Amino acid sequence: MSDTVPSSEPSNTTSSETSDSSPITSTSTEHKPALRRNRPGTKLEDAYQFPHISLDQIDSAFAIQEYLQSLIRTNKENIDALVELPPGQDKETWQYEHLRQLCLELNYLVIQLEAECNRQTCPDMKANEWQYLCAAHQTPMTCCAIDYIVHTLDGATTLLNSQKYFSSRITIPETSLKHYQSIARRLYRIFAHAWFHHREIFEAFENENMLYARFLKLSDRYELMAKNLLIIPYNNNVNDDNQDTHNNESSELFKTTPVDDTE
Amino acid sequence: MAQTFGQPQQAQQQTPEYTLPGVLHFLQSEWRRYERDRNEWEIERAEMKARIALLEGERRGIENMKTDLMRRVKMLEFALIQERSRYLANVPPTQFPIKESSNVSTPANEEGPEPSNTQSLKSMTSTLNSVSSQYKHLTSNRDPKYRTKSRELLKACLQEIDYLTNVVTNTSSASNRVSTYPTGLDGIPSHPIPNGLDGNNNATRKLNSRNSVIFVGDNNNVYNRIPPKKPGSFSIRPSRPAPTSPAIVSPILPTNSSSPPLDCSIGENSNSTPTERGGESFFSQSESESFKNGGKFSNGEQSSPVSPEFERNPITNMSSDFRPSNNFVVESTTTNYEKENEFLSNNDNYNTQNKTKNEKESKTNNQAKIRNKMKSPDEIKEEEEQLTKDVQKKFGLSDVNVTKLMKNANKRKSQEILEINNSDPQLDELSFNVEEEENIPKSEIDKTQENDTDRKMWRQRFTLRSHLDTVRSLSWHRTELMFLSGSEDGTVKLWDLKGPLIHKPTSIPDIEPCITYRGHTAAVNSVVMASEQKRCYSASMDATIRVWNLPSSKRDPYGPFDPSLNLTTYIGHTDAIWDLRLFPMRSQNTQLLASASADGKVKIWDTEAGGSPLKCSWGYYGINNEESVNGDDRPPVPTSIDFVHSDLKKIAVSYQNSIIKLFDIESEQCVLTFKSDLTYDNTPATQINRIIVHPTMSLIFSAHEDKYIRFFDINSGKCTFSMLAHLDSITSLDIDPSGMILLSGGHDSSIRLWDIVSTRQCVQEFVSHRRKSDEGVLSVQYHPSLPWIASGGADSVVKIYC
Repeated sequence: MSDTVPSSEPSNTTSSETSDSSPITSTSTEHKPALRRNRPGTKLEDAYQFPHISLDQIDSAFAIQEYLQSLIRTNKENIDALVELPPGQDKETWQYEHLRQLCLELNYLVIQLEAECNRQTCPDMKANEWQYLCAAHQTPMTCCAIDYIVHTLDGATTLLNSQKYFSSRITIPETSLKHYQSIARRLYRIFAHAWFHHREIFEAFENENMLYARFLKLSDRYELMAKNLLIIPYNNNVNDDNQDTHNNESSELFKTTPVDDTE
Repeated sequence: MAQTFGQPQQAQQQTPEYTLPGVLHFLQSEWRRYERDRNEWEIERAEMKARIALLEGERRGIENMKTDLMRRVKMLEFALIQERSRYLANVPPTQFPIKESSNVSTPANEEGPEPSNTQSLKSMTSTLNSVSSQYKHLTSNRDPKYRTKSRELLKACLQEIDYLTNVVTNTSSASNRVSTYPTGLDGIPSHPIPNGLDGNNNATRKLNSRNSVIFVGDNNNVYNRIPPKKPGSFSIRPSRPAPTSPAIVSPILPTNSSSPPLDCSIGENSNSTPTERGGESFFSQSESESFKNGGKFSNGEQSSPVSPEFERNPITNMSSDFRPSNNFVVESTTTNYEKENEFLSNNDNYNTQNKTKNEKESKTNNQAKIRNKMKSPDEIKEEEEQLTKDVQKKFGLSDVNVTKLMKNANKRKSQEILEINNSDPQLDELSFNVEEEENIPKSEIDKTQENDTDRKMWRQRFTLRSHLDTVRSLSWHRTELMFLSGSEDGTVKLWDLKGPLIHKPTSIPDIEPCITYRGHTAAVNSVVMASEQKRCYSASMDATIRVWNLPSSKRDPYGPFDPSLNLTTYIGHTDAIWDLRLFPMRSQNTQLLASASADGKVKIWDTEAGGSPLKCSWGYYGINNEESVNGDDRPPVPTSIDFVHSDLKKIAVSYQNSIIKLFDIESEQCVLTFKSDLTYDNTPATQINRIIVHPTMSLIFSAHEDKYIRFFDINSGKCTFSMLAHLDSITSLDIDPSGMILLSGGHDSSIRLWDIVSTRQCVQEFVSHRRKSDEGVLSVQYHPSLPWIASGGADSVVKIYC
């Protein structure tokens, strides 16, 4: 135990370097290559304390995922750096890994929501005046909010893991790209429901994880969602420069219209 | 006759040069010849029919015997379990409230047949009798000191079981050979007849692979043949520590051809070789003739490749005729066969036929010898019948119960066989038969059929993708084809493979988990399925253990969210929890769960307790003197735990400083410290990642970060074996339900199977998961009752093998 991984490397220094463009080459060169693994018995504070290394130094089939997770661990506040495409990388796979990571972290939001969102408090999946139909079933159903959220997350996870559409994490087939939008659109509704109906949970979670901000930036950068579908008023937790044309009024037009979402 | 007289006249007209009498004479002789032939054929046919009937009768007899003995084994096992639980119930807990002890003991007392356990055991042997009465006396004393005594008793029981199973498999192996020789017919000609060295190698391998039935079959031949030499040293099950029984266990790998059983069975082979030598055309003979050759044939299949050992054997070398080699003749396969032969065949045809055969002589020889040497079967049969009745009576087992036990036994047996059969095509067929009888899903039969020609190798069957990050832990349902997976993405998923099984392997759609349990706020490190409780447990980096209900089997994966599945959360640890183990036995009111955390503590939880589930908790130095000894601020952290199956009051804990300690659960004191830090260099790079206790032997296996797997004796704490087992750190271990194979997975992405009983060599390896951030395979698990393996890796994927 005495010799721990050079974990104490302050995250600030790394992050400052990560924040400008992505490939960091200098800092992460270690005297000895510390193994990037959490051995049994690792304390929570020591877990994942791997030095951040540049993408081309990661030698694994999941380099992009590792790189993204490493970025998030080192500096999740720097949304721009998180979302910015690493040079030389494929835009599609980068988005894919982001969506996976989004699903992963949304789990933790759902856990918070489960505490107060149930069939009684939220019998319908609503956000603002919108009501959504759950697309996880043969025919879309009016699931209650928590069901909708769980189903959507499960469905998105399944889709992202689908052997048919995403058989490889290195190259994404052209025909599967269309799913990005539907995944993003549905996941967004989880944020929206939380924001409109469980504001405290949303804020607490957002303060800690900056997940919504990252999502917004991602959908903006890669045009995953139509602007008029973004119904959470743009004011909080979001960097000033990442929202421009967001029009809160447009959502009024669709008030109380059930959205049938079957694609 | 009229017809036949008419024909010659026509013939005469067409061919006038023939005289009528001449033609008549010719036709008559022709006709006579034909009649004679027809008679012969008739005789032959009758004879073959008799032969078939004979073989069928034999088969039925052996099957009955098998069932009978399996039933007995089951009953003995049942008795054992009863003993064990009674023992557990009888030792008074030292530290816990009295309520506790009464809880534990009531279930045992409530069970009717209980008190008669020891008595029924008595009826097995007289020696056992004394031990058990002793035991009775001792347990009443309720002194932990006498644990060793009770262990002796258990050993004796196991020996009995061993003995009985030996008899079973002995005969069944004989039947097996007979019944499977058509395969031999196909197999042998395609097999190159060995002339040179290569051929010899082949032969050895073949012999070895045959002999590896020995686990079940041939080994007891040894016993039958040379009882004075090795009384009691025969063993099917690894009931004793491996080091004491290397000679007994037959080789799986073709490497140690020098072990005694092998030599013996080579002698056996040599005896039959001359039989075949008589006619090189043996295999080209018509099938009917091979029928006649009967029992010999099954041996011929083995003996045709001449092994080096055979050539070394002076006797067989000299032997140009039968007699000398018949020194070895009393060998169970043939003898049993002949015995049955004689026993069942009241068929004159067969015997008369034999008169013409030149091996008749040798056969009578054999039979004479058999009568001398093997008077036993009938007696044994009687004895055993008596025993069955006794046991059945003593335990008050109805026939229904017995059949139930039998079913379970068969299930497990077929599974065990599947495990072993890697090495033997014959055994494959055996397992195939067993499966057929039990209506095990067709796919499995297919699988064994495919494997008929080869050693049984584990092959990947399913790839399950749904986790979003490294899969750290897996746990199978005890009986169903369901399992749990825990991942670094913070979720626990429950999978059911029954659905996917009906699809063809090529057209399996994406398999979705039945349910995703969300609740942990950090990576899940360990999951445990408690099938009996219909619950599961998961432990996480977030320092909590969560308890989940298993959903009903009819639940739709996209059904309504059910918060009641989230039963409760055990809070007590203050740092990441790394290992969870369920107490191997569940009594009515308690089900213990052990957890090891990075806060340095091992905690025991009583999952059935009404109030606080936490039962006890201790650190590296035990419960009391932790503070006093605790000089450094960070005492070693536990990495893995496992209950000791042979002494359920103890738990083994491995620490990051590469030390394994044995704790008494009740006193919470360390009772033994293993010398397991041979290569420890004060860094986690040499720590122990995982330990597992053998289900029956007193052995602990440890998986080290520095690529070692080590075997430790639980009683002495000494390292008995150490091997560099992987190319990178080893993360996970499991032992197959029969206790023969150790499964290991490591960061080198490979999964390896080790024969732990005899050769201690790798019997199979497959590269499985892809690496992510210096991690590879994180979890490997045998299904406790079905022939499946699951593995989870850093690539977020779960793979299933069968």
